[in-house]
Amino acid sequence: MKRMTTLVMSVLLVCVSSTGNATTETTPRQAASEVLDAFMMRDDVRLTEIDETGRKLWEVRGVSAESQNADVVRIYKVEATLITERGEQVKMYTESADVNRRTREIVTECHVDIISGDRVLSGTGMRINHAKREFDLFKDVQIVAFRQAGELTLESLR
Amino acid sequence: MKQRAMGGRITAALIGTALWLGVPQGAAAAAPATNPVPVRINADQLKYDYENNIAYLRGNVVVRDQPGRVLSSDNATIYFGKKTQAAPDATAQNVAFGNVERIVAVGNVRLVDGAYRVISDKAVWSKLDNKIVLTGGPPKAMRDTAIISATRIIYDLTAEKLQFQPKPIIEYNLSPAEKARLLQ
Repeated sequence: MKRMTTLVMSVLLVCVSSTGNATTETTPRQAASEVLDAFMMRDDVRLTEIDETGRKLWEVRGVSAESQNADVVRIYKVEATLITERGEQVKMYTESADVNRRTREIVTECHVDIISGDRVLSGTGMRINHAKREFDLFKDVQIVAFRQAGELTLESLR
Repeated sequence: MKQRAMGGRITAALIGTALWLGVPQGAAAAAPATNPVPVRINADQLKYDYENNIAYLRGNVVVRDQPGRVLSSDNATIYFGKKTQAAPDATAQNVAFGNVERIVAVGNVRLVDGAYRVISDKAVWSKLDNKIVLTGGPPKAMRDTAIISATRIIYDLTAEKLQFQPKPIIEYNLSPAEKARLLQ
């Protein structure tokens, strides 16, 4: 499936491009590229991938981000949403994660909490493979499947 | 006289065995359809297919369903049910097991439920009929000193009853002291 990545960023961001020039008005596609190349971004960073039909596949939000290299952006205070073909949302929360714009992988070594349906999954270290529609947790995995009906939040664990 | 006494002990043991095989234990029959205690599953590593809601767990898998009931194995695959439209207002019945539909545990499987202990190579825990089917090893069920093996052991969690297929092979794991008493 041919995919296009669109990156949306909200107000007040320090947007110093890799060439040191301040960003000027650009098309959304150019903006996405420039923002990913930027050294540091602040305030409501948001990365979204949509397919050609306009359906959102995933979204990563954070409070700030910084480039690690040409391909990788590290996002802090991450709240990621994966959207299934049925429209269900899988929510992920972690302290920081690296998004690779070339492979579309999201990787972290931090503790991760994930809400999927009526269960909370947690572990340390994660990799999301969007192409395969799966993710890995590398250590200390726990799944808590709740029996009560209703929407879950992380507070359900506490 | 000694022979009669020994025969009596064996008869008593067999009756005891028959009871734990066939008769549901008191509280189980009246158990509620739901249990507010969540199902907890631990493992070393996880691969999760979020499109199909399947969790592949590797290393030291432990499933805690309710107090006293623990299934452990080397690896396991857990099939979660799809979220239904009715989920936010779901009835107690369809959230009875945290939406887990099936657990397939493989390698060094060990089930502990109260006084029962069952070991096998593989276990398939189906929440639809609330049964665990244990195979491979062959599976052996233990309670106190009694050991019963079969090609296939089915644990009915609702009735808290074990079924042995095609037939149970009963053994007794005896301590040296008990052996000595029998041989006297």
